Amino acid sequence: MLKSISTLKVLFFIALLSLIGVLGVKRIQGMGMVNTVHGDVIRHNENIVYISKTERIPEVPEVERIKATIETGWRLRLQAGLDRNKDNFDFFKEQLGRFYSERPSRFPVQSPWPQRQSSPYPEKNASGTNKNEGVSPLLMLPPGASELEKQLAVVENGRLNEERGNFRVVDFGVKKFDYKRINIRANEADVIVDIVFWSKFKFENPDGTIATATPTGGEQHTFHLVKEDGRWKIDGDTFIIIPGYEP
Amino acid sequence: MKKIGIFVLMVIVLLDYSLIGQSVRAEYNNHDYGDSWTVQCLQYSATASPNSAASYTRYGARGYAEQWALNFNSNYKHLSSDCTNFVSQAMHDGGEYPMQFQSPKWYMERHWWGWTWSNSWTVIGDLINFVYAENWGYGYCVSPGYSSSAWYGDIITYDWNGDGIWDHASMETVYNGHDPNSGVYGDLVDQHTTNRKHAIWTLQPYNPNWQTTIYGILHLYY
Repeated sequence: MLKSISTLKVLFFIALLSLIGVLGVKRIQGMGMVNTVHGDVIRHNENIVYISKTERIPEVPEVERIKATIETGWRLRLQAGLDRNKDNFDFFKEQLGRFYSERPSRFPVQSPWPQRQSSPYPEKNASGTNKNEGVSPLLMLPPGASELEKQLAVVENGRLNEERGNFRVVDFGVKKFDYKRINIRANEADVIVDIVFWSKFKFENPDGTIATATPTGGEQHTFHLVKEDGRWKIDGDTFIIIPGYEP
Repeated sequence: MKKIGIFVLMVIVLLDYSLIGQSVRAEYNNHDYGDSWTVQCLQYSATASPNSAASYTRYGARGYAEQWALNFNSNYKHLSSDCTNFVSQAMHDGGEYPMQFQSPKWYMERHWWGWTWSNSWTVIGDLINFVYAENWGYGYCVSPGYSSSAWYGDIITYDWNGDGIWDHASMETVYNGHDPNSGVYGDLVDQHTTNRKHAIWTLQPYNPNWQTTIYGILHLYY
């Protein structure tokens, strides 16, 4: 009984301190006004930002650094695939190394087919078929490939898709990065963010006509980041299509 | 008293349905196809032969896809992610592949209390496992081009995020045509989830992420 009363007193005291702003974090640098502080869950506008209980305040500016790493790194990869940047791949390769880690990817590529294969019938011999002329570089990555290697394979996959698919990507733009969760634990971070973006394509038909398309897509990405030499780097990136944006 | 009786009866029915659903799922998930997963995109080992017990009417499957590309057949449950459900319907209803109620299962069934179905009917990765287990066909990777290399009634598979897990499926229905929506030339497909008829098989005009997308064909024997 005595113990529970003491506990209540302590809780009441903590609540009082929070109310007068001794413990509560009312404003976080780079995040604007924080709406709610409750335990280790911080609400910012409609989004929820989780911050670990230990070292809460020193970690807060890291949120902005993490966002910058994701937004710059992800855009850079798409930039590297644009038609006008094809000749500058070495530059982009070097730049991508600043944002993507050389540690083994948290989300390695799996194998798409069951092992047993057979082909008892001849294939359709259609002109223009690119079957097996070049399997995606993503599927050729060795076990334990780094996230940087994976992202370079993604750029190469995009280039091959363009060349073989007779289209070019002339531009892209991001409509929004909508952060759903940022969870920081010492030198690691998990981030869930919705990215809505568009790309502009030009397709060349065999008769010489050009078709254009500017599809908009929505992807919910899960990023994992690690801090290397004081700098956040992405060591895992995967996504699902947001319902309603399926091609 | 009557109301209480009806209420108790409803609870029993709901519990029963829930338990049946769980057992069906558990049984399916426990099925071991026994194959390890390795990258098999370049090689074929011509050791297996088609399952002679089942034959595929690919023109029938194509006809079904053409008929129902933009609508929903009330003989089947409509799902929010309907792509594999749609190709399974075409394989069965038009292509005459029989449903299987014994393991490995492939079915969608309406009961007086609702619907039951196997994962292989509605999830493309599970459908591929089923097709392999039944030896109804095989898969291979392709890169974009005017032609997909698929035959009528074959299934095009899409991995949107490049993680090696197929996310979407459509059915080849036209060789060498123009996608009426985008004007892009090549083989055309019908699909559900986002319902499309005669879309260019790569779906590239509708997919802004050209960098991470991987394509495959699930070729079905006839």
